[in-house]
Amino acid sequence: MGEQSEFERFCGNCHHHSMYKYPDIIFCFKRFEQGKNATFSTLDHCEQWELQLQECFCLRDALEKQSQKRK
Amino acid sequence: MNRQDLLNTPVRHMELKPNMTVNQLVRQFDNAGSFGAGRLATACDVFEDMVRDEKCTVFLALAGAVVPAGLRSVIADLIRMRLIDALVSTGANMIHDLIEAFGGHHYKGHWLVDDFFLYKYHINRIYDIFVSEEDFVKADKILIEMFDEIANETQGQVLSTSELMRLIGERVEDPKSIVRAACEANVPVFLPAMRDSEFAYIHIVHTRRNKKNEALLVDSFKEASEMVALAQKSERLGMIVIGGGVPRNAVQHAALMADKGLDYALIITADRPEYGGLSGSTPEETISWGKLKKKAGRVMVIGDAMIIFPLVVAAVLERLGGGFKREGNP
Repeated sequence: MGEQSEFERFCGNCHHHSMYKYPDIIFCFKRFEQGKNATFSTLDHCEQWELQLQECFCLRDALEKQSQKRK
Repeated sequence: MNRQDLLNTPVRHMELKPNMTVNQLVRQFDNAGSFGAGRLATACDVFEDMVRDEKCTVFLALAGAVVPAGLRSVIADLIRMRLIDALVSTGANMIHDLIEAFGGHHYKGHWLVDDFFLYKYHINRIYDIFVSEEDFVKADKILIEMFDEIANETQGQVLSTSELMRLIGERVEDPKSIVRAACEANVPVFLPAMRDSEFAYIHIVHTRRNKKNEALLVDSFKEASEMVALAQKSERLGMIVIGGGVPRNAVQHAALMADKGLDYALIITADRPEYGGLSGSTPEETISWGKLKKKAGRVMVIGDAMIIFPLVVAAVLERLGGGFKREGNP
């Protein structure tokens, strides 16, 4: 719990994410199994967020794209 | 046999000319008759004999990543022309067919890449082919929802893999899809190792989405009876193998269980017999099991199926001509 709280919560660093549209949209099989909406922004997160320490480029690239849009 | 019997067929050296057709090139291979070229020429003869034999049921046993590598349309076209009567495949090849049917692509890549770099970019590699994770995920989603729909439609009925593939084929719109082509041509698609593919993950997620007694039921044993019944109905049996593995064994086993044995066998593999595996086993070894008849037309071509199979198909299509029609068996 303590270890996970060091990281900001994004779908892009969640254990359950798979790619749906790189880098913007992920697919969450955990929510899909539950019959819930499964496509989310890489920069979103939900109450079922679980950290995956091996960060993907999708999160980096989604954050980069977001900062470019804000300029 | 005397000495002269061994020295009565000289090698005729190949002569290559501008604008040669594929079949003309294969005829030159036959003139030389040596090494892989000679085997490839024999493979064309065996395939031609198989499809011209009106009483022969032709099985294509498909293993190895030939669909993502570029043989998707070749196989779909052979099915539509009914030059193949039954497809026995790995689950993976059908998944790759369906990835493209649902809008995904396979990309030319390279084998000398940093694979961990690919992993971070959500890209999967098959030797020198790249496939994006999202194309897999989109296919997974569509197929899981299809499984939901089919389970609802079949209401607890236990399906064979060929029945399931037909129901999937009915729902696929892409006319270039192998699964769609097989459904339209009434060619069964057997996946004897379906659970050893992405289909297993699809089924797991489908099962978790549905109540226990409402999930799709697939019985792999059921298709064994279907394959044997198909072999029993046929007067003669032919087998084309790309790769080997489970699909090849399934076809050979069906021929044996039908108490017949194969009449034709064309095997394309990169494997070698010395390691004792099924994929590298020679047609002659198959005779020892009763799975292939002693007098069967047969050949094993060792090499890259991505080179050999298109050459064989192109040469034989040229020989058959555009007007050739095959009804298919049975």
